[in-house]
Amino acid sequence: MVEKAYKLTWLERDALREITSMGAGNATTALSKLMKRRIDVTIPQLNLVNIQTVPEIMGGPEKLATAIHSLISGDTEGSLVVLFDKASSLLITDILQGKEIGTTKTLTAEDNKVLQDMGDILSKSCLDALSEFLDLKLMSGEPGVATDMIKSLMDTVLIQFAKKSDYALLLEVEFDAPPTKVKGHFFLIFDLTTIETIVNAISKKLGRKKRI
Amino acid sequence: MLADDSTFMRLIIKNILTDCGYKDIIEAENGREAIERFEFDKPDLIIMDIIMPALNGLEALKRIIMIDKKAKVVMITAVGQESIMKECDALGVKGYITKPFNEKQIKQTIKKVLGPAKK
Repeated sequence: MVEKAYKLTWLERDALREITSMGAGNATTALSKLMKRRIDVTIPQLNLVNIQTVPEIMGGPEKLATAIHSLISGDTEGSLVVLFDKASSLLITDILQGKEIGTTKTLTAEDNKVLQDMGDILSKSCLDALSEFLDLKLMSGEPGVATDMIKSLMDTVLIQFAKKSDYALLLEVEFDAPPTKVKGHFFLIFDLTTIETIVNAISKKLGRKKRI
Repeated sequence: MLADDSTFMRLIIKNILTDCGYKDIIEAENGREAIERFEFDKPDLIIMDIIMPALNGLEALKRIIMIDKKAKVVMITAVGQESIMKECDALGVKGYITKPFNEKQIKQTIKKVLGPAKK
């Protein structure tokens, strides 16, 4: 099914996984510095998925979460979503503002601004790594922050892709900041045109002909 | 020897090394294979990623150094792996290549460790 939409060779899949991991790794380091805590990152999963299945992959459509969403522009288009479960987003807000853990019970506009600033740093560090390695111009827009059910959050993110493609490249990185129990997911969502641009940049990097 | 679970990364680095004139580059897909190839082939230099399946780069490094204290090893790291780098330093690692790397960084690091390639 996915393969009919865009068939990635095993080498392209390997390259995409490696390159996007670099981006997520850079972003996680930025988060680690902001939170002044060690953050463990699990090896990411990279999949070409039908966009309708994304909420399910992200933990179930009705689960409450906070999403920090940035649009990617430049040589490619896409979305970068950092998703925290509700408890984690409250913990992060306390840590970033130097409050005692457990202080924040619901996110205020001020808390959202803190998360937005953090999202800005995360998306820039991720895209800087990708840009540098692939020699592509990638920029992130001002991130939006929202807390809602995962299905509603992702519907907003995915609306733009539905017009262009049924499939998206989904990189899932799980990170853990012990002992705070902060857990999050990192999603890079690209449509097929963008995947093609990146695959061509990979071919260039390998000194191979552009994929037609 | 290049030890990295990503074929893409091995290809990129191999191309750069070949351009510089280094020959007979062998490859390993994980830490366990790296140790086996090291014992068998005794490469002049090992370029090894830290995060690998089967046996990670740090564990493989420990065993390689146990086999040969003078082994020349350069580790491929990502930003933020400073604590692991400290452990690598203590084991006598000769250098680091930090992702996202560029060609110049690899060439400089290898040249520093091995000297210019013999034509």
